[in-house]
Amino acid sequence: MSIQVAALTPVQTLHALLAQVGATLQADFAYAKSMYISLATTIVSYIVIFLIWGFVLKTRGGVGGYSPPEFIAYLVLAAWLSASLSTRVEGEMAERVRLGVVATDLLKPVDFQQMLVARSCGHTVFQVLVAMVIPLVGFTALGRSLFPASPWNAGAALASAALAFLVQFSIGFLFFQAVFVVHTGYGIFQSRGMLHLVFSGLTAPITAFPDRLRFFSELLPFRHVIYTPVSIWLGRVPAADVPGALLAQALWAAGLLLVGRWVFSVAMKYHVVQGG
Amino acid sequence: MKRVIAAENLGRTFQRRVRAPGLWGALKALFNSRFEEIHAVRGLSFTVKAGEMLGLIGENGAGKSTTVKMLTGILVPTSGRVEVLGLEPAKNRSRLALHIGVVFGQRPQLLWDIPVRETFDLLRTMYAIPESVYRRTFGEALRRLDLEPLLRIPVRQLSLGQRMRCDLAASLLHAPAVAFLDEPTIGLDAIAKEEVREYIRQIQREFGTTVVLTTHDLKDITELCTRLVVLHHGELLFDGSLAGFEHKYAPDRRIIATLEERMTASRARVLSASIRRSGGILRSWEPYRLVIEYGEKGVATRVLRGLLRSASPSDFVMERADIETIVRRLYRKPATATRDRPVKG
Repeated sequence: MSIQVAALTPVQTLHALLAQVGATLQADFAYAKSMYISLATTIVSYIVIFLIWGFVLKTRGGVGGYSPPEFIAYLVLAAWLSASLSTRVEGEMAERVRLGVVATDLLKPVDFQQMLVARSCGHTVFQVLVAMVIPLVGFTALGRSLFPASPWNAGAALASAALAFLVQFSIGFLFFQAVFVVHTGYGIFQSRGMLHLVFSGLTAPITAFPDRLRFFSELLPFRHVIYTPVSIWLGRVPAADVPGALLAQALWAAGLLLVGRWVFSVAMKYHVVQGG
Repeated sequence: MKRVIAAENLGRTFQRRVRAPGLWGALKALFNSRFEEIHAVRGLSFTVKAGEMLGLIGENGAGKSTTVKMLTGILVPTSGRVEVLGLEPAKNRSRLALHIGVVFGQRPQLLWDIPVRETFDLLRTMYAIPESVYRRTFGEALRRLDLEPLLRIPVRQLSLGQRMRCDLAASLLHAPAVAFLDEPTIGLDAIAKEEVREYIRQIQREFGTTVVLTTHDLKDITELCTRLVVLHHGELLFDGSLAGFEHKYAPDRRIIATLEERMTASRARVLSASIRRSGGILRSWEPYRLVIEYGEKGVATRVLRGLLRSASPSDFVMERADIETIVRRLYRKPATATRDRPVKG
């Protein structure tokens, strides 16, 4: 069999992935109402967090080196970032694995992991737009304390947020693959959500954590999803340490993506597409 | 002609959890896991040449879909080897995907939430389809499958038949070298089925596409395929031409006679002996109806002559078992594996 079987060129692959981002974004607009409901629920849960911390800050003053206004500004930005960085692709894929529809995803001419990054990117663009309501309300209430420490911090924080997207995706990609074994996302994504809630810095800056929790938070990659970019934005990371923080994020993202690829290649050897 | 698919001793074994029925069974299974091995495909060897249209059939659970999954690379074989377009599918899945089209009848690749047109646009970019090819495949799909009115409708609002037509068009949009069509006419009405078959024929003619068709609708096979592979319990039962299949499994022809006069048991015995001497068999009889079977060519005249002499038929029809009847018979009582002709590479 000597047949020329070409692959997509890198440029064609890029076009394919961008098209996937666009298609995902378009599909999200079809379900905007559902997203508003989800956002409203999320905002309510954040309000509860704000109320709890409001009470603590009122009685104790600053926590973890943050003054009360700085702490609240941190929480608003953390909420915005968390609501923006989508984890939807994991749940979608879990359902597709369960029903066997993943077969059609596996038969695309682009790399599976890259395709999921593109889909996640599409969801994230949509969620960034929807979640804009959080900083807008936050700005109305808190004013300038939400602003970045400097234009340089803003730029570095945006780069950090982009890396946070990759860390978030790569963690999700690893968790998602457990579905190949257990055939449902139930339980897996609850665990993933809990770990994110506890260790990412969503509920409080990591410096405010008790020592043991802080120790574990610093060992795990979750803090690079929320805590690192928000801290850079607010100028809580010294300028000299920012490149190191970005590098740590990049290394986590690259490492987790590579591990994810390896796990996926192993999983595919055993995975059975469900249904006839 | 080049060989585009080669499967050699291909096998796939699954482990299936064995569970007692009911709630108690589900509870027990939490603490006591027992598995059984299922050999979905065993020692399957066949090749397909470029441009061939191959029908892959078998009863439910025969291993058809498992075979297609292995050929497309989404399932890794547990034994044997397979090559499609010179590539090992499981190791080169994405690369191979650019050159194959796959329809899984029950799993649409269309984007569920947005209009059909958007999926076509996405696939056009994703497969880097040249303008000249896209114009032909898309134009042909619009014309043959009557897709124009569906393009603006979100996929979730389409009927099963409409979705199948769109999904087939989407899968062949890039004029793949090999198309794996797993139940492409499922859920379609008779007219739509004919349109789909015509579309497949057209794409095959125009682009020389090799087609591997899995279906339970044997009309798809008789209308499209020149070759048949029959699987039974994961093993190859037959590989050859449709004519060879009919010759092998249904050499018998039948005469069904309607009688003017009532047939009695004693007359039937006499008639049966007479027909046997002519080379046929009286397969069954009722008071006013006879079914006679014969195999060899040239026997019909003798049998008919005997029939006209011994009975008084008011009418009779001569028929040969159609492929559906043969397959039905075969599923009930499978024969041993055969190849109609050696398949050369």
